[in-house]
Amino acid sequence: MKKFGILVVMLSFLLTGCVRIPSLQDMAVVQGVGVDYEDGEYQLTLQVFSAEGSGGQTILDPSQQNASTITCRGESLMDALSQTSLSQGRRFFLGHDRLLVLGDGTQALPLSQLLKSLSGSLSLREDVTVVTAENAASLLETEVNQGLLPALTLEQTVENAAANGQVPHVRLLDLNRSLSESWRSCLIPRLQLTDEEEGSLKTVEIVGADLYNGGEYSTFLSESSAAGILMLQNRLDQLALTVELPDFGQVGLELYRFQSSLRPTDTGWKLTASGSASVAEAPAQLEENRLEELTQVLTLQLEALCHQSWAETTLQERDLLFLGDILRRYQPASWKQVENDWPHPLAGSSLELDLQIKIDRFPYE
Amino acid sequence: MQMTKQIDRPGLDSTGGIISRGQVVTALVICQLPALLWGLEDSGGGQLWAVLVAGVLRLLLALPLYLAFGRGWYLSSRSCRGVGEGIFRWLAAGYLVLFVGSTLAQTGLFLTDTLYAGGSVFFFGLVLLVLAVYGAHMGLEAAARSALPVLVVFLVGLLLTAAGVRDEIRLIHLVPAGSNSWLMAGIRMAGHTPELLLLLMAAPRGGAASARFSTPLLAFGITTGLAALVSFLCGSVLGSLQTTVSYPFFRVESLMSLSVFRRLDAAFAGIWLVILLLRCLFLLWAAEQIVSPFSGKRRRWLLPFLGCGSLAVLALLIRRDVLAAGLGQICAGIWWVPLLCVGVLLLWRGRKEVRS
Repeated sequence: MKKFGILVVMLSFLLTGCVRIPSLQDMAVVQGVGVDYEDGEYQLTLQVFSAEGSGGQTILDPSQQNASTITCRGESLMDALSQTSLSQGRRFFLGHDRLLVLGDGTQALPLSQLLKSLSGSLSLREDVTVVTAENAASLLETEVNQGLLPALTLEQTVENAAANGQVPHVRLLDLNRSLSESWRSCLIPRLQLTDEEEGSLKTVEIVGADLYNGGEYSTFLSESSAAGILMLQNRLDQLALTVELPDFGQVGLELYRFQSSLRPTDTGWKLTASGSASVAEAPAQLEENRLEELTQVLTLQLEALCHQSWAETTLQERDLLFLGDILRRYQPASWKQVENDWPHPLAGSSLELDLQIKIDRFPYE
Repeated sequence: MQMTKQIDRPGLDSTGGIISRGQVVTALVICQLPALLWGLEDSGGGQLWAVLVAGVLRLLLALPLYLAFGRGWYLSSRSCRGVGEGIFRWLAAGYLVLFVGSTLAQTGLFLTDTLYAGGSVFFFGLVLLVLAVYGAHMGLEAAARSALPVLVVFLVGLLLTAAGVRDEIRLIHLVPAGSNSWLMAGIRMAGHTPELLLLLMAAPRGGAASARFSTPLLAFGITTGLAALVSFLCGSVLGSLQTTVSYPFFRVESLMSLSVFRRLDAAFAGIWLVILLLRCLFLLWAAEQIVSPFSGKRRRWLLPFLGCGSLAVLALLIRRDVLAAGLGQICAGIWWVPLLCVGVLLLWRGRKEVRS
């Protein structure tokens, strides 16, 4: 009897094939999600993986988009999503989503509320890359001439830009982390489509970053300002710069191994930073005395970059640099005094810089 | 007296085997891991201190138990001496059943929140309960043997997670300990320790005092170390977000990206599921051992009976708001139950044995 019981239990596992299981063919694998908002209506654009190869070894055709887009409208995100499901006829799988594009229309909405709605209705992962664009639908629908899969290409573009110190690589986690305290601000890289000289294909380029203050759209920051922010945040991996050296010409430099720390002082804030730079291109070989001069010019240029970014954020009462958190950690007593009014006390704060840059690599040794 | 000790060994009377000190340590660590999944107590900063306080307190809670063992006072799973002892035995079993039920409810909610939104919390809890009852019926030894590979896999996953989120770690997110709230948080953490009753029934007896006490020392030491690491990862990666999201450590695990190892949510959820199953199993086994003197010839029905009790708790706590509010209040209010049960039962037993 006992053996029979065990046999019945084991055989029941063979019946799992009788249960309807989700097949890959029945699922739409979403790679990119775009959200636009206009006239009180949401427009949801889903970029879905769609192999356009001939199968077998060539299931992905590099000359094709390998993706299709589905766009639907609704008064809420949930409403738009249900409309999308009706037109698609397949179940959406968002576990492989790589990209979230926020159109300019969404600037009218509180960012934290929008992200909560997206997380609730779409169950987006925390490691999804977030970007902004003039029109999210256009960005996801346009044929891009780079890479195999459009959404992955866009994600890679942002990653490359972040690695080169142009804009931060922002994921949903970064936004949620920033928005978890009302005083913090956050940056989102901004993408723009540009026409190719020949043909109808488009190229995606990064033009800067949008700044959200306390969850609401504030302003647009240029690439150089965004690079300065990265320096202040100690998130800069490398940065390409061109420096004009008097009576010598333009010198191409690459800043690397950059480390910075921002600390409160009695009078304001102090940035202590160090880094190395390599001379990538120069009109002629640099002599010893010119090298020192070049270092000074480079340091001045970096200081100007930091001051510009500082002015664009903190003096406008925007805490993009986690200054509240730093103050809470290093001067808890001071933080207690200004906690309820933060980030307004930032308006008059000054930044002292201590940059130690060393040029240690040259094209001609 | 020596003879009595041998008969009182819990492994001999029901399961036919005795688990080693290492296996007891593993079982205790596994039982305490789910607290890392639900999220450590919010201490308003200084969570690492709270974790350390909880570790020390747990060790202090286990100290009287081992002092009693040192004097030869053990709790038998075969005989009950008096009505008073019986009352405390049922109190202890009820406490364990409450924790099994709450673990089932939390597991169901975890699975529906993270893997299968359309699933039934009660169904997931029921399936887990059936498996736990069956596992407890098969005995402690098999479960204790399977606990070690599960713990190893969990540790590998934890190391992978720590390595995979290293770029996300921002020390500035760690909130410094402000007031003494971390002390209270540590006391609350230590209060959720039904494992004390598992230790009462499963701890190997005999041997040198130092060797005996090494069991809780190792178990609570490992748990404290793991909790400190998880607290550091959650605090430095999620920042203040960790207080507003559910399953903060699972969120950190889902962010892990190391070479080809990325987006392993389902794998991590699977590991957690096995850990939760083992916890239910160990606690059910301990509950069965504690009240087994009352079962007589109907001992085979004891585990299903305790399972029904757990199912009733699951049915009560199945709603998220009830679980969050109710369980928190209950656990905060009755943290002294295991301590009282352990103390009274051993003192009772010891006094009677001294008299006899």
